[in-house]
Amino acid sequence: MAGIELDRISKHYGDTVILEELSLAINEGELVVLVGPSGCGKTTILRMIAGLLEPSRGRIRIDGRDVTETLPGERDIAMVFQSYALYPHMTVFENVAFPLRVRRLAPGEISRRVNEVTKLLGIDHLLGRKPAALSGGQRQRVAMGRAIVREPKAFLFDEPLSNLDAALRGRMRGEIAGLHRRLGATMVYVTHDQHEAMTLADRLVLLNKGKIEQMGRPLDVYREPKTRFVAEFIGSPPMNFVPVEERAGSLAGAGFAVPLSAVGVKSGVPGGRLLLGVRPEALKVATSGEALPTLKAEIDWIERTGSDGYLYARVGPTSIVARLSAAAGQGLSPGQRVDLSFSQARLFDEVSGRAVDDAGVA
Amino acid sequence: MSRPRLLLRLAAYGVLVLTALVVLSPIYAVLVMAFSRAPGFSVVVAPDWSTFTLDHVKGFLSTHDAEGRWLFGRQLLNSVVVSGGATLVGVLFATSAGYAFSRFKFPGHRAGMVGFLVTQMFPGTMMIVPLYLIINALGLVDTVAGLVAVYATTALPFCVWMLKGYFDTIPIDLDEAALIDGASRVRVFYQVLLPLARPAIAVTALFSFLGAWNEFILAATLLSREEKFTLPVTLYRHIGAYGADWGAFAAGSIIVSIPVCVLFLFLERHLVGGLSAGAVK
Amino acid sequence: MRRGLVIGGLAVATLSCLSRLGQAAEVVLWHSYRAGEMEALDRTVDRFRHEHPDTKVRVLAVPYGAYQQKLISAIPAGHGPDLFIAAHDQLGDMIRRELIEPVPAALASAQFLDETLRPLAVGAVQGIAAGAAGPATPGRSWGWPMAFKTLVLFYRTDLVATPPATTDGMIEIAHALTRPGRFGLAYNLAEFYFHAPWYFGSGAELLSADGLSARIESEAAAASGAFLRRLVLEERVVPTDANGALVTEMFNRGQVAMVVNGPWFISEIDRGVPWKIATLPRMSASDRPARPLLTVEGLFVAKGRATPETVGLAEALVSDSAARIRALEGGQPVANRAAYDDPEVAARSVLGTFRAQLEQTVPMPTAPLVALLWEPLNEALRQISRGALAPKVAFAAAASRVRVLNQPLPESESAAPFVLGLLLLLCGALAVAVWRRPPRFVARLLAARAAYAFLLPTAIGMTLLVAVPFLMGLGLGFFAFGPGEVRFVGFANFVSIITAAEYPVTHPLSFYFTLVVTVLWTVANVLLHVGIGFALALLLSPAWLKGRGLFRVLLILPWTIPNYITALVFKGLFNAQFGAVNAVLVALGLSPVGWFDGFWPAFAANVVTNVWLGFPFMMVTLLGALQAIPQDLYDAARVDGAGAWQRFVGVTLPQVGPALLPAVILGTIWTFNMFNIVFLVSEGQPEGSTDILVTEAYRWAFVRNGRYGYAAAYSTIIFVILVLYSLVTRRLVAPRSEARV
Repeated sequence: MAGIELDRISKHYGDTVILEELSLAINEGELVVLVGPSGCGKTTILRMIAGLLEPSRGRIRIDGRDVTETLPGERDIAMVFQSYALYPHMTVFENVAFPLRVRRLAPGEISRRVNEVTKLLGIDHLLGRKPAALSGGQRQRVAMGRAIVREPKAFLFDEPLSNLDAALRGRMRGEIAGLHRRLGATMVYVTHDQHEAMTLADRLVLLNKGKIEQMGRPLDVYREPKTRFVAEFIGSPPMNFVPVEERAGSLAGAGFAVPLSAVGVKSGVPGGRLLLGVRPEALKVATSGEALPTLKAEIDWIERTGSDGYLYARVGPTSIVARLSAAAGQGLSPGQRVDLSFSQARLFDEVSGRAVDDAGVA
Repeated sequence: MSRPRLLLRLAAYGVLVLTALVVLSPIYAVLVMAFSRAPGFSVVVAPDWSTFTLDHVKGFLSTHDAEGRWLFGRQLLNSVVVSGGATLVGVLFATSAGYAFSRFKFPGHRAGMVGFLVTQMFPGTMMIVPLYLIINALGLVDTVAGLVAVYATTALPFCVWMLKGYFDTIPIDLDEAALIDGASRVRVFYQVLLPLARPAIAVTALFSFLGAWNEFILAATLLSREEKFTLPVTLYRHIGAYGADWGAFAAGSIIVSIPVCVLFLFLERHLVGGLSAGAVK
Repeated sequence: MRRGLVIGGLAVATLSCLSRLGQAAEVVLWHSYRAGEMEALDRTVDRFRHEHPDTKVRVLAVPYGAYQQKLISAIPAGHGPDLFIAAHDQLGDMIRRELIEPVPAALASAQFLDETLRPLAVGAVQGIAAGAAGPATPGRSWGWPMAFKTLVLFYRTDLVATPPATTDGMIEIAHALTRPGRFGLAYNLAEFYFHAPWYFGSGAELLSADGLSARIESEAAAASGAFLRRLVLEERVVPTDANGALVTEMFNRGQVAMVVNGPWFISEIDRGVPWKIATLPRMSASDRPARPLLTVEGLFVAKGRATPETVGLAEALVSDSAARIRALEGGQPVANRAAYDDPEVAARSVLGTFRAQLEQTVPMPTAPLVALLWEPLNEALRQISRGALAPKVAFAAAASRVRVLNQPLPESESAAPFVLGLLLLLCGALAVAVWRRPPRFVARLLAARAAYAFLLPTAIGMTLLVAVPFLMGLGLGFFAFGPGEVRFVGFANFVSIITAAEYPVTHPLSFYFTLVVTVLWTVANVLLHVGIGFALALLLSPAWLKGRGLFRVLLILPWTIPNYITALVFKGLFNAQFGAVNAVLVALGLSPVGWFDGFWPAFAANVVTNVWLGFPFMMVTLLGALQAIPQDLYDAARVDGAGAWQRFVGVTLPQVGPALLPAVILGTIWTFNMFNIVFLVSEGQPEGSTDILVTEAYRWAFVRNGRYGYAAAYSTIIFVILVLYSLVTRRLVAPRSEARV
């Protein structure tokens, strides 16, 4: 097992810049999820780690060894593709055995390891089949088996679950997490699905336009997004943003004002336009006499899913969403005015998109 | 797919049967010429089977040279060796080149592909004399190797285009997966892409074989020992300066065509079918 | 590396020298005989082997179609024969190309018939400076006469009691025997060779005495044309569309009583047919004997191969005793006097008749100019026998055509400015390439090492065997080849072709007419290939169709048959009087068509042939493309309410397009250059109007006196046209998916 280090790597295609001076250190045994919207460069990073792409500048090290010019096959990493990339003309056994055959292992050793791995993944009864005769989930497992069987230094996952249906996706997610626990291997996982990112990651790296927007433990990123982009990308439904202005130590919006302390900022708030960021799950319908800061809103409509519900409302001209417990929504109806209180919020500079906290504008 | 109405289906069969008849009638004419004693073509409509004979066929099969060697046997062997060799070399070269054109981007990529097309544009009859000079300079006149080289290269442009196109349809993920699994480029090529490109390889092989098997002008120019001749050269000998032995020519035509027909029969499924099952989805 | 190559080259050279040494005592003999003549020759060679066990003799029967070309290429390259048998009319060409030696020893001229010796004598060859082979000593010769070929009158004794002495008598007999489906007389009307007896019998001549100008426009020539007209159109005793094979067949079936033909015809007559031969009748109009052309088959010594062994074998082969074997077993009219005194030979009245006819023959001219006469003369004969032109007009047209074909070579030009220009152009191109090279060119070149490794074998093969001959072909277009000389002429060939000054654009022999025909030919074929191929592919793809495999195999069959076979078979099928196509038309109550008499029918015959052999390629390509279309798309279209036609246009066509396009482009190029079909089926008839550019180029190179430069210029123009075509469709041709990695 080994760490992976990206040292100021850049990737250009002609005049198009995909990545610029990006550095990232992945620790041994860590499961890092690269997440971001499409075109953010996350797959490019993964392919550069794999050796399928060469960085225009910068170095890549695996386990301390510079592998920037090393061929993919000599980096001792395994990759699971979105398409699974199973060899259609080989049986499951042959597929899983392929990397071992390439390394000229003894046939006995190969079949021992293939059997072991396929048993672990629960596909040992499929060994004689060809990929065409497998279900999506089975193919996924074969692809994982092919990766695991080599006992590589690191695993790379390129959106491995996006071709599965929702139920299967959940289960496979669990299996990958379990695998990571069991193998203790370094894993780099690329996805555009923030849910996968949150549940799987030891550390989450959020990319945007070829730059790291923020990284950290998933919950830290969730709680303390450093930019509006992060705040919007992580969390579902996304964070609400309400325009406010700083007026004499408090933040004033459309028909409401909250103290600066409500966003954890003491002083030094810049002038100009600000956004109050409140997550839907932090909002509650205020009961009278409550001490928490509140927003004045008018209800548009209410959605109930049984276990909980969503309240869609407007604060002045701004639409917001609040997540309600099943009981909390009782008795509310569209058109009604309510006070929505919040326990937690963050302040963002509207122009730069950066969070405003104690250190001033970041 | 649902079956269309009976009438439509019958119409489809009708058209097919009719086309098949039209297509087969000239072949029938050749059969009549080969197996009847009457020379010429007018026998076609109402063949006179009382003149049935196997003489033409026997004559073609049992040629011997002055030293008593069985010429037909040797020439058949030559044809097989030359066509087989040309196919093997041609397909080997073409798959490798097709792979390069499909999987790499390199200076000269476009020029190369266009170049292949361009070579098809210069009339072949004008190439014969220069080709002879080159083959002669290489010391390959009258050798199987010379003919194999010429046939293999003349088939290359089509084969490379065909294979490049087919390789393009094979997801590049497979190459990458294999590369990451530790396979070399060469291994990726022969263990992953080649098995998957079998249908295209079958087609190109058939094409190369066909071209080599049926060619006679170059063969007649480049070979000068009767025991080295390929079958079409012998076949064409039945058309002489002052007349033609049509019966022998027809018999020879049939004998020369049979192996190709058999090959087509075997490869026909490959020829048409793709390896759609099991491809990455 | 380089040193290794040099050493390797030396090794190869040494080895080939050694192997040549080892073969010193072998004598190689080439001929293009078939059947009986071949067997008889082999017998005489065997006898020689028996008597000279030290000399190894290798005999090669070269197919006639490739014989001349093979001699031209193999002898100078050192792979040719020591001795070879060829017709004397090639003599001029062979001397100019320095393929042969004069026969070394003085000939025992008394041994051979004078008529066969004369055409081979040094000094007798027209258009060649007498000094080319030393002084014209009497008795010195270019080769030994082996046998001669000329025309006589074959007749069925069950139909004709006594052969006619005059042409009027011949017509009278023929008239009496001619009725529907039967003719009194038949011969191959399309070839001047068979008309020659009447032509020379009328007193006409082909060339002036010095062999430098054509004499085909004369009253006497017109008179021979009038005789032809009488035979075919007035008396109607000769079938108009009988080629060699048909003449044979009709004679065997008793559908024709008399045939003008040569000795080769004997072996084609069925056993049981009662026949005899006679000398050709006297021409009633001119009161001169009909005089056919004479071809002497000579035995020639290849340049520089006059070793004692070679001469020894030659003398054995032309000896009286060998001639006797060839006469008796091969049925050859041999050149040796003594053979005819042999009682067994004398018992063969056939050989005697040939010898008698020999005295009334005209030797085939050897002047280079004569090669240009056949095409125009054949055309004139076709016009006359179709009644399209009056004999006089037809011969006048032929004469003017000869003048066009026989234009003097363009002036020689200095090559220096061209070489300089070419160098400048190359340097310029290189400079531009270096100047405009993409960024990081060298780095990318290095990065693509792996790709080049995969390409290397193909690149070497293509360079050596495609690019180099191709460049040689391009280069030839700047030279002119005349009798015995090669000149650099710059762009003169191209200018001459493109200005096409000899004929108006609408004339079938104009370059632009040919170009239009070529385009028409290509468009018609490709459309039909794709149309029929597509229709059949659609018919063959539904799953409910039973016997799909069978139909597919049957429909692919035309692809498997060599195209020259197909062409020859279709040529027969389209024969106007005897072909199956017309037989079917008649059976359907339609009137038969003279397929090669008019432009459109001839063009149609070509197209039908080419469509027959070409549609399977498109069908298979499209079948594959159709099968690759996901069923989902059809289902989706069906759900969207699309009808069958809309599904075809909206789903099938766009999905099939990417596969179809390259096939169409390749098909276009192949069809544009499809030589065999046009050359063998319509042969350019009528009047060369159905010729396409490649066949025209071929004629310049191999039919009209070896004007290779002109032919190469033609080929270059064809090439340029196709390149322009592909540039126009370039956007479509460009590889759709750029290479990845």
